[in-house]
Amino acid sequence: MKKHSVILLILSIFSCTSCDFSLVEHPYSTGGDMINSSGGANQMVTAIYNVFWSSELMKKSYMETVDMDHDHAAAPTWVVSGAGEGNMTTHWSYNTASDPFNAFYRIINRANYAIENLPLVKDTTDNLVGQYMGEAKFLRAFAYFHLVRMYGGVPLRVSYESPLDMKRSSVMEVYAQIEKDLLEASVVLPWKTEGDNWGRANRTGAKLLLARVYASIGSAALAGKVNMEVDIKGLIQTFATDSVAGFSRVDASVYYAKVKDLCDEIITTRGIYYDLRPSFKDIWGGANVRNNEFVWGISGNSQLDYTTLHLGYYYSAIPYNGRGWAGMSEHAYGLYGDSDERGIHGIFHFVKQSFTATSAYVRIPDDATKYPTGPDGVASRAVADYYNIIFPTKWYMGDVVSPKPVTVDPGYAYQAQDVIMIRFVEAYLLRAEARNELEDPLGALDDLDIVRKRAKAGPFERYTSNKITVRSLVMEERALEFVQEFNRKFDLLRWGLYLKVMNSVGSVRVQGTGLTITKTREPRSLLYAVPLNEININKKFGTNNPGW
Amino acid sequence: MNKKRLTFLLLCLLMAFHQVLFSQTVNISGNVIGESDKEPIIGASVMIKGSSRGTTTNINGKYNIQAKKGEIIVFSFLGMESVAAAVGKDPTINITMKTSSIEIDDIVIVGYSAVKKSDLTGSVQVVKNEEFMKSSPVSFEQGLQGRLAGVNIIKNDGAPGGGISVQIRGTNSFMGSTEPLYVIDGVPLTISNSSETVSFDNNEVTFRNALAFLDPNDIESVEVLKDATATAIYGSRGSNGVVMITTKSGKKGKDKINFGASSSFGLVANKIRLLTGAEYAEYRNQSYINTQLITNGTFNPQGLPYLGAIGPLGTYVNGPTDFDNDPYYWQDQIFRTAVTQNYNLGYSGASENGDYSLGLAYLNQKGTVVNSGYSRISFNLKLNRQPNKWLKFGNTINVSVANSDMIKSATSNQNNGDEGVIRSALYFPSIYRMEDNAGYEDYQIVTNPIDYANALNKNKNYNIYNSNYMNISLIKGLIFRTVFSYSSSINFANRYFSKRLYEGRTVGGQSLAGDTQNQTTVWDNLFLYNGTFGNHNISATLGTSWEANEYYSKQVLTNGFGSETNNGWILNEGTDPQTPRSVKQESTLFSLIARAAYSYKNTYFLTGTFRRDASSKFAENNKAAYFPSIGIAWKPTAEDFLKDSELANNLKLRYSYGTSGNAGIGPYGSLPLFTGANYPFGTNVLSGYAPDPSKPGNADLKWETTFQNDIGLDATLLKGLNFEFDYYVKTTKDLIQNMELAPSTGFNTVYANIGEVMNKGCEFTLNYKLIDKKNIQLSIGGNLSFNDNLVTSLGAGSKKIFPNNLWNDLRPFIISEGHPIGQLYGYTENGIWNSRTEVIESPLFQKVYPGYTVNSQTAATEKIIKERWIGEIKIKDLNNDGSITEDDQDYIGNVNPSFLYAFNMNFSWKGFDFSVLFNGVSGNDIINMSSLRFQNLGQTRNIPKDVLDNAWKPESGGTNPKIFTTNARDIYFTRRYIEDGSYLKLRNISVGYSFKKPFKQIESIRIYANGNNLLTFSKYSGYDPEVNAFGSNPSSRGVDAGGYPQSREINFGINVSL
Repeated sequence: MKKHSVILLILSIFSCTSCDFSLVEHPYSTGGDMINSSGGANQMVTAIYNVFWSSELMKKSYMETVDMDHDHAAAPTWVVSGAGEGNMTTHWSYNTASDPFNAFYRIINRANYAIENLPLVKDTTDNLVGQYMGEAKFLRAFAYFHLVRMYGGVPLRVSYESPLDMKRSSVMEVYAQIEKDLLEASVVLPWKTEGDNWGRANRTGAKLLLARVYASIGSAALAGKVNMEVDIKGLIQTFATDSVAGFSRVDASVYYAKVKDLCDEIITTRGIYYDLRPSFKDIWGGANVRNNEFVWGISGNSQLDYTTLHLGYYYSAIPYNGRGWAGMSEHAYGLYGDSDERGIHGIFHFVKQSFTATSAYVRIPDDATKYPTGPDGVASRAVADYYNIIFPTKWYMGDVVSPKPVTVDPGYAYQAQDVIMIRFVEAYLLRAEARNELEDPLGALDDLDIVRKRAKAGPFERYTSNKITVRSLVMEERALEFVQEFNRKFDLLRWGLYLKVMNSVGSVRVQGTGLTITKTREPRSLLYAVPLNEININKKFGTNNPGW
Repeated sequence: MNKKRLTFLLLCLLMAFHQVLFSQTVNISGNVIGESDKEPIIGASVMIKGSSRGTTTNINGKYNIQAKKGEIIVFSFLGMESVAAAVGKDPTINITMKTSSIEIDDIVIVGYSAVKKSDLTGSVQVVKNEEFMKSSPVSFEQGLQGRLAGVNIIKNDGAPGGGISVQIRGTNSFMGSTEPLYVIDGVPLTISNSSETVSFDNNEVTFRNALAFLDPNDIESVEVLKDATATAIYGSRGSNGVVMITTKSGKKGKDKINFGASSSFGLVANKIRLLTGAEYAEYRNQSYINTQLITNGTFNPQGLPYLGAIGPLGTYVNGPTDFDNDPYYWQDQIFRTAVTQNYNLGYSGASENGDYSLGLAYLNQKGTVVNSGYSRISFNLKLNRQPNKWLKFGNTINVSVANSDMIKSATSNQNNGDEGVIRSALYFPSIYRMEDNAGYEDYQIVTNPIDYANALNKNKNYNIYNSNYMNISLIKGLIFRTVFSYSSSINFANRYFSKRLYEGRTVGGQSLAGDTQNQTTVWDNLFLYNGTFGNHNISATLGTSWEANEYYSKQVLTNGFGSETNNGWILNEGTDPQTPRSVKQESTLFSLIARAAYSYKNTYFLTGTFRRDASSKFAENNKAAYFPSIGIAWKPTAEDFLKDSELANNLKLRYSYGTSGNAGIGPYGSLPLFTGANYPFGTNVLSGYAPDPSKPGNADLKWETTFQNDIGLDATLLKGLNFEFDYYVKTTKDLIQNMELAPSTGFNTVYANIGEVMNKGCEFTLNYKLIDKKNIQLSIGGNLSFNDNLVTSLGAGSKKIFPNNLWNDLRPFIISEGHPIGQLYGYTENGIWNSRTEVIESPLFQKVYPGYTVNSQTAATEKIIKERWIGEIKIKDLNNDGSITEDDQDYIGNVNPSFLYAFNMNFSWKGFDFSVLFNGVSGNDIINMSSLRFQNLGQTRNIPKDVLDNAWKPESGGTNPKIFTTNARDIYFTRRYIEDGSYLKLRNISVGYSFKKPFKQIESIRIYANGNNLLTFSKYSGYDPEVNAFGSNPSSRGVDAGGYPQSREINFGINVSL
């Protein structure tokens, strides 16, 4: 008996001591030691890009929040999910971790981590650490540029461990940080990224983005002082622009001079790194992926993790692998001239309502002489109430000149697709805008003509030197060129036109049972609603944007 | 019966080393029998008064003892009145013992020791097998509903095998589980409903029941430990209370065979009156007309969606009269009468050296929603052996295999059509019929409910539970006990979202396969001591417990199915396999356990316990936690002045104070973690790692500590009235909160200890034996409990915490000081905007459009007035700042019941027995998620008729918003979506008849019938007020997220004993 108890006593004591050791945790999680691991520098930077492929950005929300709330967008109310009706608070992601506000700050957080840790990386075999630094800064600037345009002044977090409570910086303070990051990035980045580097930020992209930033500042500084002509459902109306908050003491000409300098510099590199594609049909579609006009975009592949829900799927029409939910309004399409390839090849001319519909193709536009028979050889049908969205071919991954309809519902229609964010052609459009504001409207028309001739749209040939007209033409040309490329809403906002244009348009016809979608906006829609967590938790943030 | 066994066991242990007796004594022997049944009493204590000499009766009720003349022999047995007999000339003393008329003194299993209930200093309640089996529950927790004061048991939903949440004495955590710790035969169980649920779907909030593997028939009794003196011994896992489950052991006597079979029939209790097909078409037409008139000023009569004439495309468009569905059409398609079959076979017995019990059970439960069901085969074996006087060992093995056919029901989503079968059946337009085979895309934006019901969604669970113990008697009164337990649970899940479902539509069908594996190893080493010195009794436990858990889960999914004939089972048919994911976690817990109980003259009691838990899960700066407690009790009825009182047969006053904890942290919960964040450059996907947005790490993170005071009174009055009362105050500090961070930090959340919550309440239990005769018994009883929950501090941090979004920006729950956990927060309504003038003249409008008057006519503004104001809900501007903002919210509801109550009646007459149980909750609110959709009038979903009838119209007004199609409608969370969740349910009614010895070979046959949930009294407009979509999540209770409705059940069964 005694023996037993002694043995057991020892055993139990042994069981005590042996266990306290194992209380240290070794999580099954990786990545915490990138500074010491080979490839760590690359991993830090790769992680920043990763945010783009989340439902809060390119998979879904980016399109809904950035590209559906303007006069040219046409999509049923459920597709735009509140955000496209000027009310971010009814968007599915609002206040959740999927809110785009969170996503942009996640980019900033990861960029801050990389910017602080890249210099500490011990891996000497990777000689691209300098370039990675530039990429991180480019991405941080890209995120802040979106935040400042969507939410106004926001807390400026430029270090990984910034205090929890942080006040909103002024709009111009945010812009100053964006400018600083892009200037630094454009020194260290290579001019061009291609092949296995496609998707990485590059110097051309940094400079073009910076030019767009300067133009945003310049135009916002002019807003409230200048007039603009806008085509409202076929009727040209002149608007006195509203002033844009945050730019009262900014001298527009300083910024436009910088725009012009940057664009001049970029244009001198034309053909060396990036170029204009010769014609519209050489830009888009499956045959032209990653061509040399695409300066920078979100790089996709066929894995679901890296595909966008919206572009190929929502934006393309039935039966071209798409669902035909989101497109452009009738009057936006009407802006294209008869010879403009952006109108000729830029939209699907024969669409169906659904795969199950046995009826004939509907012709768009409703021109029986031009589009007498559909792709199936059967006489096409007139436009009915159901077909009021014009679907651009821009994001179609087949042949945009002769799109090939499919006969059965493809169901799974996601495809490898890049989301193009910066195109070389913008250098001309930004320079045109700058030249006009720098008292060279005729030079501006020259730049526009480069864009128009490529599209086979009639050139302007210096027909006017009226600054208001040229300003309006530049803005309209941006709309024509960049339809569904995430610019129109910001163009309306930065020129102080958003409320007036939207309320003048009133509503546009769309597909679906509601048949129209309203475009009337209250003043609160000028800025997005900030997620409530920011307001409730960040003690210094202050109140939400006006009206929210 | 169990009491007998336990007493016997305890006495065996105590008597193991009694002294060699003196030779000048007489040998006394005899029989001890029970008065009522004349059966021998096995294991009765036979003690010489004033000495420590004694023995017990054997299997035939016989005893043998050496005694001197003149000594008094005391015969005692649990539940019997003690008998004393003096030793005279006669060497044979036969005794007949009477059943004790006072409360049977149960042996209750408390942490790491067994105690007579009358000696307890804490609050412990016991439910016996016979009681919880009255409702023929599939899982034992269900049978406990209404039977315990202060214990709120809610079936999360009615799904077969679905989760059940048990909450003892209120919520004392923001995010840690509120589930009590379950302890099976002394071994804590670590699995939880959420770790047992393989979740493929972020929006789905349906949980499995982790305890479903136990066949209730195998359970002898369930004890619920509520106050600190009872729970502190479980340390960092005790603060939600402890539920001790004792499985059945074999009993001495003849070997027993029991066979039971039952069948039950379940049906959803009520259905919701929606629009008929014709009404729905009219409603859609009206939406079209309203929307067109408001946005364009005109409408195209040819554009009516249900025109009933030749339409613009030249073909006939169906009109309202072309649809003939009744309002229950889609509900009728998914609901059915559910049949459940349950069989069990038990075989048990015991001999001098040990006992055995074996149980085999098969359950096949069909759900009330088509294609749902649950089946289980379980096997239970329990062995105890005592080969010699100093050694005892035994083990329990439980193996079960369960198959679930599940249906997606409750979801937290409110937006996209993936809302599960129940809400789909409500929303799906009644213009369609089954044969239309209508899918998601026919503009109704709702998945066909039948598609949900047909979707592959299977779960298979394998559960092995094993525990082994060995007791070695070292010296008199001192036992060394070692327990080694291993349990493992593996769940396999397969799921297929076909192209017809919202979830699978865009990806061409999605097949998912995954599993979770939980393993727990426990090794306890304990010294148990019990000694009596004159009037003093001391019992003590000292030991260690070591526990290791391993968790592993993996998921693979693939998209893009060309053919769906294999229902996604064959993963390689998918053309688009996705990155597999897995999680691996390990944790260890090492504890020191100490417990000492002292009693004096069986009148004064003192218990002290202590536990030190060192857990790997705790943060680096806080690896060990200490949990002491103390309990005292006094039995006035043992004092001379009350000893012979006719009124008070038994009185005990108790007080306890102590701490217990809630670890609430998962493994690695305190560490900063990184997450994979890859990206495709060119054609290659490169790996990247980013700080995990929800795991920034907190090195100071610690457990939650609950300090609990409990004062209680147990009383037996007038030999038949049992009464228990407890009053408690619990303060929980260092509450762990998944604290939200400002999104601008780049992080979403971090675990932090913030705040304090207090629960105080009282519990009453009353049982009265009105008639207690041999052939007829009638008793009534009931319980009532109040709990008041209050957040007393939120530390220095935010004064308002929104624990979670149910969907989008709707965050109905708030945690703030001075309010309970479960407080609802939102806006206040002030009717509907009725007229243009009312709008324009309102300060709210003037703030946005200053100077706009009734005479102004700006087209865009007029349009906004028509779209966004008139006919919409008017929200009160509580702070009068001219606009509706966050700051206009107020405290508008509370999901905590103000009290729980239950009452029951039991009657038996000869072989006939009858019982009835009612239980209810009162004063709690429910969020009805469906009504958020219903009240958004004008969308392409079906709605209840009464919602439509109250829609606002320009000519007649109304209480609901106008019919208008838009996605930009501001939805403010108000009382509109909250309903009173009070209910009273006829929980169970049961009637049975037992035949004693109907045949020579058969001991007894019992036939019975019972009904569950037969009546529900409630004002709730949904299916059933017993809802809890978010399971044990403490801060979002009381949400009806479209869960599987509870059903009414009628059950018939038979039990045969050989």
